[in-house]
Amino acid sequence: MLIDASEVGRLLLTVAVGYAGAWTALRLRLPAGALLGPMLLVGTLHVFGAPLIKLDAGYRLFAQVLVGATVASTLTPSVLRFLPRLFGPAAIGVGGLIMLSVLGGGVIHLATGLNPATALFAGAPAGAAEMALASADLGGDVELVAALQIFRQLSVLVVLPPLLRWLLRDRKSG
Amino acid sequence: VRQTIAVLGTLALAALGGGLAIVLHVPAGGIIGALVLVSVVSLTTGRVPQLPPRLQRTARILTGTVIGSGVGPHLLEGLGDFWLPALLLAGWTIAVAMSLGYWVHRRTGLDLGTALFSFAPGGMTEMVMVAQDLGADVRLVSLIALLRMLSTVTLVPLVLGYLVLRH
Repeated sequence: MLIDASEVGRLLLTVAVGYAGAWTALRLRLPAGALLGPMLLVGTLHVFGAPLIKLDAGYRLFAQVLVGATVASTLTPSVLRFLPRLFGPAAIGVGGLIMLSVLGGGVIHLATGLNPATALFAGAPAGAAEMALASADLGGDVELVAALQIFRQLSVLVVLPPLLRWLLRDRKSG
Repeated sequence: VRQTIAVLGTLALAALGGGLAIVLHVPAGGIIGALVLVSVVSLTTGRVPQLPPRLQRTARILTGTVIGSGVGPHLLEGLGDFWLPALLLAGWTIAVAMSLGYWVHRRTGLDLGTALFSFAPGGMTEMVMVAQDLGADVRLVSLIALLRMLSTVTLVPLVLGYLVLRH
C-alpha cells in the first residue's frame, strides 16, 4: 500500500499542534491542560480550515487502553472495602442521572419538535457512537444524535474542569 | 530493566483486555476491557506496577488531539439549526449530574471532587483523565463511570425501544 505523503504531513502537523496545545495549556496552568490544550487548539485550527487530519479510531483506542491500564494499575484491595457503602447510592445516582437526562430529551422533543427518538437518545448520558447507532433502529437521526452527544461531551470537558477546580478550591479554603 | 518489563507486560495485558472487549462488541471496549483485565490481575496478584507519569501524559495529549481533530466544520454543520436543543440538553445533563454527585457526596461521605467527577456526563476516558489531574480518586470515578456507561448502553435502547417509542 502506498503511503500518501501529504496525509503523513497532515498527521505529523496534527500531532505537533496537539503537543503545542498541551505545552501552552500546561504553561498557562489550565485545569487538565494536557487534555484540554490539544483539544482546544487542534479543534479551533481544524474549524478554521488548517490542513489537519481527523485521527481515526485506532489512536483513540490506543489512548483508551493506556488510560484503562493507568487506572487499573492503581487499584488495591482498599478500594473494594469502600464499595459496599458506595454501591447503593451510586446505583441510585446513576439510575437518576439516566432517567432525568432522557427525560430532558423528552422535554426538548415537546418544546422544539425535534424527532422523539433523536431527542431521547441525544439526552442519554453515554457514548456518542453507541447512542447514535441505537437511535437508528428506532427512527432517530444518527448524525444529529452523534453531533448532540459530542456537543454535550465537549461542553462537559470545557465547563467542568475550571468549574470543579474553583468549587473544590473554594471548599478547601472555606 | 525489571520495572520496564513489568510496565510492558501491563500494557500488553491492557491491549489484550481492550482487544477482547472490542471483539465482544463491549461499548467503549478499549478502556473497559483494559480496565477489567488489568484490575483483576492487579487485585489478585498485587504485582502490577503503576505506569510512569510520562506515559499517562502521552495518553492525555493523544486523547485531546483525537477529540480536537474530530471537531471540524462537519460538526458545526451537523448541529446546524439545533444549537438551542444542544445547549439546553448539555446544560440540563450537567446540572442533573452535578446535583446527583453532590447528593452522593452528602449521603456517603465520598469526597466532593470524586463524587462530582463520578457523575460527570462526559466520555469515560476523558473524565478519568481530568479527575486524575484535579486530585479525585480515579479508581472510584472509573468504577461509577463504568456503571453509568454500561447501564445506559444496555437499558436506554431497551426501555425506549419497548416502552416509549414503540407507539
